[in-house]
Amino acid sequence: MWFNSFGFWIFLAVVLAVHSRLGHRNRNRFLLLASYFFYGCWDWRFLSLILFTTAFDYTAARAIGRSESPAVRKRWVTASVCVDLGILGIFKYFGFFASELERLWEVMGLGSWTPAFQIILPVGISFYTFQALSYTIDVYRGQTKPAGSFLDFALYISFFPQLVAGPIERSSHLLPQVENPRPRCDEARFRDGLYHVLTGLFKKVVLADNMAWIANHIFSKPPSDLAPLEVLTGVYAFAFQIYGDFSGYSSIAIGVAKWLGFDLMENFRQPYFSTSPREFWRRWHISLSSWLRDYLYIPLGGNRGGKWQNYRNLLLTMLLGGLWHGASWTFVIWGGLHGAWLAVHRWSEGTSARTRVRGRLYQAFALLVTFHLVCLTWLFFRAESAEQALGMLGALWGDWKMTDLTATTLTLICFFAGPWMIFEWWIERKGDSLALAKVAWPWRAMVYLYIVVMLLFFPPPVPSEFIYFQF
Amino acid sequence: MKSEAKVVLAVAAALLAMELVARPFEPRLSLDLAHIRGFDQLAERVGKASNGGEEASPVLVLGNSLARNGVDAEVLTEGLRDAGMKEPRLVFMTADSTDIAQWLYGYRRYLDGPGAKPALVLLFTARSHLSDRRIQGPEAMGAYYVANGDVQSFLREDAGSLDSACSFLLGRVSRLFAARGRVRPLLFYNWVPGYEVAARQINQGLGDGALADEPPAHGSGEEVGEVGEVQPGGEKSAQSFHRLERLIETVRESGVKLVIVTVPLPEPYRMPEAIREICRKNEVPISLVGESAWLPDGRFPDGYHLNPEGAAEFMEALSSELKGMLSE
Repeated sequence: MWFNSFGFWIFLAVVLAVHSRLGHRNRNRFLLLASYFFYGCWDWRFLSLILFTTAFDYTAARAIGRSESPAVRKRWVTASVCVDLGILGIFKYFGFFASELERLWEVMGLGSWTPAFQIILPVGISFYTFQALSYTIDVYRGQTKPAGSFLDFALYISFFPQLVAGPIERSSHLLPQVENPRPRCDEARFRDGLYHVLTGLFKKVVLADNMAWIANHIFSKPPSDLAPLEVLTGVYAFAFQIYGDFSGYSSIAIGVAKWLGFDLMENFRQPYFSTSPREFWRRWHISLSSWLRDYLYIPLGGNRGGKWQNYRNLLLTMLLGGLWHGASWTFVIWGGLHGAWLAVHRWSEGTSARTRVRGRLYQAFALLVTFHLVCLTWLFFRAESAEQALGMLGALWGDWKMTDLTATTLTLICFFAGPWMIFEWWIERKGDSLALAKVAWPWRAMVYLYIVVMLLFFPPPVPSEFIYFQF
Repeated sequence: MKSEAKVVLAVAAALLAMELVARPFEPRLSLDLAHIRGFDQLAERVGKASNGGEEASPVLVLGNSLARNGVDAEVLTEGLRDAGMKEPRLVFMTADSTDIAQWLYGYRRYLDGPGAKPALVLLFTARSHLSDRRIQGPEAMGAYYVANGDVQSFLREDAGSLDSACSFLLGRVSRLFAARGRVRPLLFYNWVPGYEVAARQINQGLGDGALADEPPAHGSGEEVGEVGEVQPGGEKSAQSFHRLERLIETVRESGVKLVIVTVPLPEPYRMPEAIREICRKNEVPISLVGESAWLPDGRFPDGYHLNPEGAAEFMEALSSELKGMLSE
């Protein structure tokens, strides 16, 4: 049940209609049922996995909350981390390690070895596992109280708008909203929700899927068949595809949650206006980057200790962040590149702070450099293999002629992404992500009409799945 | 009034205004759409020819752009005359990117009523157009092809998914929605530099003509899925032919003769045995003249459709077969 399918909107209309007629406790029961139905539409078999994670972490957190003994508390939190990561490891990384082992087996001349079975990746497992993990760790740290009711906790884990692709919520933020009566959908909530839903649909259907049509083609060709400008514009197309795809999903999730009385955290904040890698990670997939910061980077030592320790922590955090996206060397390289870039940036901050010029020209230059370095990392993220990514990089050294494909790609990027980036630039200047909701209504109506017309007349030739569902 | 209600109403009013403007403007979006909107007149012509005392025999050419480009009207008319048909008069129902779904429902909507019966239906097809694939463009099915009486059976048997059914129903009430797929090609093929070449490259890479972003005018578009049997999304199509059987039954019940004609392609192909069996069982003649690639080089300038010389040669070959088929 995709967010951009009619089926989802019919489902949502029924949920909203029933939800508005219920009291708080019944709302939670109904939302839990609706969430399980939503997830069951993907694959009902994996509902048992969510239920197991929910039951185990609920029990662990209650045991942590009840116990005064540090050893007992530690044992339960360790068990929770091991079980959650164990499930994630089995379902997400078994195939990767099995294929690597298979390759090693062959290299060592021990013949061929194939694992006896294959494991299907459950949709959204990385997202809800991290959400569950943060809960038990927060209870252990004393930052959150254990959930009073299993039903409330189950809804916290499986709340359907953000279940399969985030934002990854924290218990301190979402759980109180589940446990306490929520505001009804008044005009302000309807307005904000509508803004998020419409802009999300635009980013997914118009921007991402139209860019996917081009990016998928370019990344499916052998690098030797690509002209340098085709590689460059193909990577630009993918940069806008992944941004539109993921931030579009997050926007729709936030908007739908608003209508149901929930406030989810912001997940993207005009990331392509960043002027440094650090700023990029404060604007891109905020719920994951802050999770990694709080549960990995800081426990590793963060920026405490020496500078080399700091660089190591950055690199390790981003490597694991890359591996979170999927069991593939390309994701590991992607994470490693970001880690190395963050470390170099941290080093350069230490050496050039006094001499840095902070004029507009510098900002524009830094923005361009940051965007292109992000694109370089996207090349590894999207490529099927490191060889393909390196081949495409090598293809950049050639005759920079304008081909038909390049001309088309550039024009379509301008047509689909151009107006959106101008809109984001306006938001950036206003410093308020909900700035459009605060202007006079005719302006908003004009923007919405543009979005609806684009959704109507410019659906992609080939609809694409949400990229992050596979993570 | 609260401001957000004003926003929603303003957008709805603008869309309604666009819908009202779209209806008369719609045929100008593409020649293909003008052709589809002309199906009512086509039925009238058939009715006039068969019942209006013109003593002519209306012959329906049913197919897609393969038929439109592959039929030389003059040669075919002559061939039909030679086969013993009195004053054959060709009418074309050959919209782009259509297959058995559009042919079945289009025939039922426009030509299955009283007074609009053709004397003969020539169904031009290649290998994969007759199989029961996922409906392409359910919104266009809703707007242009499915008659009121067939809505329920379409939703029950052919819509395939909830999304497809919703698109079908929206297309039925809104021409803006039904014709929305025409705007992008119209704009991009005319204004985006290099788009025609780039779109062809990308669609070839996708490996299925059904995914093509088609050009706005007649004659240069890729057709529905002749390249392979893989459907969008990678699913394998089931090789069933219920729609073909329903079309044969519909045509037979109205007392009209049907002939299935295979269209030549640059590469040889073989019609599935199941289709041959259906034809045998229902005593529908099938011409396999298009199966083998017997036409000389250069007859397919765009790699798919016949040029006028190729069309004339194809019709001459067909005419010689029609004699036997129509006399049966």
